[in-house]
Parts: sequence; C-alpha cells; structure tokens
Amino acid sequence: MSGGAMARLDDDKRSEPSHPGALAIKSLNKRYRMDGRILQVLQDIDLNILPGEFVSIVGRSGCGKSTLLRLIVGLEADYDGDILLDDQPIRSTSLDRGIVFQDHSLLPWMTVEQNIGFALLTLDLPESEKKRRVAEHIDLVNLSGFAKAYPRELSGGMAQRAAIARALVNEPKILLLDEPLGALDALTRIHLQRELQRIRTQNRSTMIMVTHDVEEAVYLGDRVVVMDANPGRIGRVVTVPLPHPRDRGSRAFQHIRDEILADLTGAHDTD
Amino acid sequence: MLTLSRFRGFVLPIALIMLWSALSHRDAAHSFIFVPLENVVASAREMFLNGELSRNWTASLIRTSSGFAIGSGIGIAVGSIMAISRFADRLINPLYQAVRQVPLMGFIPLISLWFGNGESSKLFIVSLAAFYPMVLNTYEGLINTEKKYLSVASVFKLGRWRTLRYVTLPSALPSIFTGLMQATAFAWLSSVGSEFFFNPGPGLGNMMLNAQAAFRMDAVLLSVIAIGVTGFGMNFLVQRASRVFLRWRSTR
Amino acid sequence: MVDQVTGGSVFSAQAKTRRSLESFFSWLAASGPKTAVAANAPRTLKRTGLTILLSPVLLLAGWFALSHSGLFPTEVVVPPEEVAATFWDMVRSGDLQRNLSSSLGRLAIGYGIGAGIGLLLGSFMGLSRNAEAYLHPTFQLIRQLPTIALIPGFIMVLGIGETVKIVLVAKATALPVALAAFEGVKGIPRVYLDVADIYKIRPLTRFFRVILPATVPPVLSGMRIALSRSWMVLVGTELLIADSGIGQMMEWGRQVFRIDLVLVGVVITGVIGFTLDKSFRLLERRLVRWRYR
Ligand SMILES: Nc1ncnc2c1ncn2[C@@H]1O[C@H](COP(=O)(O)OP(=O)(O)OP(=O)(O)O)[C@@H](O)[C@H]1O
Ligand SMILES: [Mg+2]
Repeated sequence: MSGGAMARLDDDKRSEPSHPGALAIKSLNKRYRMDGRILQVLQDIDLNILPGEFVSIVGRSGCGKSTLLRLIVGLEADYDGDILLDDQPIRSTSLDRGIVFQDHSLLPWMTVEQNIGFALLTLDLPESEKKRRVAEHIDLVNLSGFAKAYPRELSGGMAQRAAIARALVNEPKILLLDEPLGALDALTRIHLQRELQRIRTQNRSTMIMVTHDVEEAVYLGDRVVVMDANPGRIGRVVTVPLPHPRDRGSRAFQHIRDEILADLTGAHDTD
Repeated sequence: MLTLSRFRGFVLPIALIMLWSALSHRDAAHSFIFVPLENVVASAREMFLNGELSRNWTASLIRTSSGFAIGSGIGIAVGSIMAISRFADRLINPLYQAVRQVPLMGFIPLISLWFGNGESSKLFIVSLAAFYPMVLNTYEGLINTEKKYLSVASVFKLGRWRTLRYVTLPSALPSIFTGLMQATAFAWLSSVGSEFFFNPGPGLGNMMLNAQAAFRMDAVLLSVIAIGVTGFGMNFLVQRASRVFLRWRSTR
Repeated sequence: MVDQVTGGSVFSAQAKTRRSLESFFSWLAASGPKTAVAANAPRTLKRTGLTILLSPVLLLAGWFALSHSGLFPTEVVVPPEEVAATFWDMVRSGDLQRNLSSSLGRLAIGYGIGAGIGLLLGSFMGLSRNAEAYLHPTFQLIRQLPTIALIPGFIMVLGIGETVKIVLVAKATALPVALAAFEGVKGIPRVYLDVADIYKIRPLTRFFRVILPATVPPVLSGMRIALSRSWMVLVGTELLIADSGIGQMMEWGRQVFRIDLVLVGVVITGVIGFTLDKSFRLLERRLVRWRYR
C-alpha cells in the first residue's frame, strides 16, 4: 500500500526543485508577557542546521517546541538573538518556509483540494499547473477520494495528511513539522514516516520535526535535539549515524532510542 | 401508543381553539372578543378575494425588503469598516454603542418630526432595525477570526486583501448569517409596527388598525396570523440560505 | 419573531453578545476582564480612556455647530444646551420623575410577572419530557408573533388602561425567558451529570454544584435580553396609548412640536436601556463568577 503511493510520484514530474536551506539559530531568547509577569519560554538556543538535514526535536510538553517552530517560520518577530536562513535574518513569514501546525489548521470552509490550493494562491503559476500539483499532492498523502471533502468530514489523521500536503505543495526550502503524525494510528503513522523519509530524499529540503515519539525522532532524524523545560533550552543533541532506510529492530537503533528516552525521563539507569 | 404520543404537541393548541369557540358561542359579549373561528375564515376569504389582504401584505413586504436591503447593506459596510480600520473602530464604535441603547420605538417621535410621517419615515425605521444587528454581527465575526487561521494565511503570504477574501470573510460568515437572521426578524416587525405610528397607508399594520377601529376582531386575528406566518416564512428562507452557504460547518 | 431571535438562539447569540459587550466594557473600563481572544487582545487594550470620548464629543460639537449655524431653525435642530435646559426644567417640576416612575413601575410589574411565568414554565418544560411534548410546540408557535403586532388586538380585549401595558410587557418577557430556561435546563452537558454520577455526588450537592451553575448563565442572559426587549415594547406601547410615562412624554412632544422634549426622551430611554442592561450584566458577573477570570 505504501509502495503504491510512493510510485505515484515520479521525480521528473516535479517542477523547479527547491534548494534546501541552511538554518542558523544564535543565542535565541523568547519571552512572553502574561498579566504583567514575564515567562521565559526559550533560553539561549543555539542550533545550526545544514541544507537538506532532517532534525527531530523532542521534549516535555510545554517546553517551547511549538514556539521555536513559530519563530523559525516567522510568525513572531518579537525575539532576541538571530535566526538566519541562508544568512538572511527571519523577520516575517516567507514561502521559503512551510509548516504543518500541531492541530492541522485546515480552513474549515474549504475543501481538501481548496485547502491545498491555498498554498499556491500567491504563486504565479498557470491554473492548470496549480491543479496538477494539488492533485499530485492529494495522491501523495493518499486522500484521492476526498478532494472535495470538507475538513469536518475527515478523520483526525486524514486532516493531518491534508495539512502535510498543503505544506509540501509549494515546495518550501525548509519544512517545519509540529507533531505532524501525532493524531494517527500506528499503521498510518509508520506509513507516513516512510513517506516523509521518501519526500525528504526526493525534495532534498531541510526538515525540522517536533515529535513526542522518540522512535519516530530517531527513525527520521539525522540529529535529535532533546529540549529541557522551564525555561525551554537545548539539553542535548544526539547524532543518528545510521543509513536509511533504518531498521527499527536493529541494536544500534534501539540503543540510541533508549538513550534519548532515558534522557527525557531523567533516569540514567542503563548498565 | 408511540405514534399517539407524537401528537401530544397538538393537544394544547386544539384545546385552546376549542375553548375559544366554546366561549365565542356563549353570548354576544363573548363573541365580540372571541370571534367565532368561522368568521375569521370568512373574512380571510373575503379579504383574499377582494385583494385587500394581498395589497396590504405586499406593501408591508416591499417596505421590509427595501429597508432590509438598505439597513443590512449599510450595516455590513459599517461593521466591516470598523473591523478593518482601527481608526474607524474608535470613531464609530462608541457612537454605535450609545445610539443602540435607545429602543427602536424611542426614535419614532424624533423621526416623525424631522422627516415627516410618510412612507420614508417608515422605511427609515425598518432600515435602522436591520442595521443594528448587521453592524454588530459583521464586526464581531470579522474581528473574532481564529488566530490559527490568520497564521496559516500569513505562512502562505496571502496579503491583506486575499486574507480578507479567503480567511476572514468566510470565518465571519456564520456570524453574518446570525445578523441577517436577526435583521429580517427586526425589519419585519418594525415594518408592521411602524404603521401604527405614522400616516396610514397600505400595510398589514394599518389593516390591523382599521380592523381595530371597526371592532372587527376577526380581521385583527387574520392580520396577526398573516404577520406570524410571513415572519416564520422569512426566517425559514434565511435559515435555508445559511445552510447552503455554511455547509462546511460541522453540524453539532 | 422578536422573541424568536431572543429565545431561539439564546445559546449562540448570547455567547456572541456577551463577547461583544465584554470587549466593549473592557475598553470602557480598561480594568475589565480581558477575555478577548489573543488575536484582538492588543486591540482591546489600546482602546483605553479618552479615545472613546472622541466621537461623542465630535457629535456634540457638530450638533452644537449645526444648531447655531442658521441652516435650520433652532426649533428643528435644537441646540444641545436647550435640551439640557429642558431636562432641568422637567427635573425641577418633577415631570420627569413622574413619567419615569410610571414607566419603570410598569416595566417592573410586567417584567416580574413575565419572568416568573417564563421561569416556571421554562424549567417545567426542561425538566419533564411530558411537559415539553405538550407545551413546547405551542411556545414555538406563539413566539412567531411579534409583541408589537399584538398591540391592537390586546387593546380591543383589554382596553387602554394599565392592564394592557403590563400584559404586553409580561408577554414580551415571558416567552424569551421561558425558552431560555427551557434550553438552559435541557442544555446541561450530559458529561457534567455523568461526572457527578461517577463520583457518586449526593442529589443536593448535585443540584447546587452541577445543575444550578450550568443552568444559571444561559437563563440570566435570556432574562437580560428579555428585559431590553420589554423596554422597547413598553416605550412603543406608551407612544400609542398612555396618559403618563416616558413614551407618552415623547408622544406629547411630537404632537406639540417640541423637539427638545423628544430629544430628552430619546436620551432618557437610551440611558435607561443602558443602565438596565449594564446592571443585569453586573448581576450576571456576580452570580456566575467562575465564568470570568
Ligand atoms: N501566545 C502565548 N502567550 C503566552 N504564553 C505562551 C504563548 N504561547 C505559548 N506560551 C507558553 O509557552 C510555553 C511553551 O509553549 P509551546 O506551545 O511552545 O510548548 P510545546 O513544547 O509545543 O508543548 P506541547 O508539546 O504540549 O505542544 C508554554 O508554557 C505556554 O504556556
Ligand atoms: Mg507544541
């Protein structure tokens, strides 16, 4: 089933392959002011992400993962420090940067098709080309029968897949994913993990994915960033030196996974 | 038993009608107020056949629809301007909130003195009745667009006007339809009501006043029924329209 | 039809109005609760203090200028200071107080009766399935009739005395209140009751801690909307048939072409409408404190 979906997307059909972007985050700090109190959400974040790299971020709920992605995508301009994409500072949103939000954020008044086409609204492309790309991406996420469905008619997982298609369709240089597979069942999840891996090798775009699933983080990531909470900061960065496709059952894989898990739960009781 | 219990809702209306006709046939004093229902039917027939009913009905309906069009049109415009421009908001909102506190009927003497007692004053009241709910609901709908949808628009670089067209406006649509629903109801009742206060002319309100002056309860009742049924029909139409336009909404 | 808007969509409409006025009051008094969604929060906060006075002051200045410009006779566009003078005259002669007290008296009695009946019938319908089955369709039918349209018929039956005014106000109140009470009682989310069951809450606690708090907010909003609706109906009725009251005062001003009197009436009815609504809101806020932070 996954193989069929994969075959549908041929390399040569893709127009204008995007160049992956290099992201540099330097001593990033973010505070929120609430009722006069100041809440330090992110503290001294330093992170360099190479072009085409896949970085997974894991961390406790509320440690600022979503906030970090919102900053990178440019939704909030009010921060200290630098965020540079290909040496250009990020101060607002751009079509170079795509995001899949934690809740799918599909527009409820648009069909799946229109929601995906929404990403192409401002692009200067012929209508037929837009149509073709939308159809291609609907296929990509296995939603072929649901092009004309409204979000309320989709299951949580289907909506999430539509949101992934919307983020991919305009081929951003860097794609941010905020727990994109969180709402999915285990099977669809594994299927989409493979899809993401494939899309990533194919598009060669830079990807940053937040997840609560450590196995998923290790399966997809070239590196896994482990964040600490209160205030949110980078605790540890684990490199995953395994070749793709990765074998979840292999000893090396499980070793890395267990180490990160122990880090997260604060229990270093191995050997 | 189950099928019978479905008709429990009819018990009370039927009982009331029976009580009514029992009272109407007691004596002359009673039948003055509790007119025999056959008289209502007869006068309905008569007024339908001589065209009086349709003439008055049309007059009220035309006034309602023109007032509704004017009032809700301006209302949507003003509400949108307030939502889009902060300056306009600060300028108009306090005035709107202040003026809105005056009950609609309270403006009638003023309008009558300033603009006369003719049809245009009635139209003014109807427009005002439709205007109020439209301003509020349009404004509310537009400024309460969920932040996450605006984020999506921003991520895809939609720009001001496209955001308005594809995000803010559709998200305000349910609220705008609530406004339209209230506006039709208010326009209709103020259209009929305004006839009580200004110069007599064709309309269901005047038909009712004439009937009252002639002590014809049957014709008064007939007018009340016509007003109720028409109001119900208009509400039904708007509700239908909203269901078509808002079919993307989850029906909870 | 009026009532239909009030009663029928109490849930949605009321939530909306609440939010709207919330934001209105929160910029009226910047210390108010900041419940506005984050998206427009900065906007709500910025509207502090003096900015809201700008347009009323402009209006007053424009009115003043226009009335003194000579474009219109001062009997038609009465200067604001003359309206104020009329107001003072009426206060000193006691006319205003007399009219106010007869209007407010009617409103209090009619509203009291109407709200009482409405609450009783509404909760009865909400609590008993049988009562709902027998009564609710009739309620739906009656609420299609705007109170204003009933005035001539009621006059024929009840004459033009005090009774008819009180009955009309009571009718305008009872229907929306009954429907709000009905929906409030019916609308207690099932899960609340389930939670109470799961934790084996005793019936009395259950009533005071679960049922009442869940019912009170929608019912109060329905009662508030009914109050401003009744006020409108009363003013209209007084314009048509009355020997006293604010409406009658305005009607008299209309007949003798005293626009200053009419304007005083417009302002007074507005202030009363505002005060009634605002006090009800304060009451709501006191009773339903958990709703507001
Ligand atoms: N707009 C805001 N105003 C104030 N505080 C905020 C705002 N957005 C987020 N926060 C706070 O910032 C902190 C981090 O939030 P964030 O959503 O980034 O967490 P997260 O790591 O994504 O959590 P989760 O895994 O549950 O999604 C939280 O304490 C939250 O309360
Ligand atoms: Mg998050």
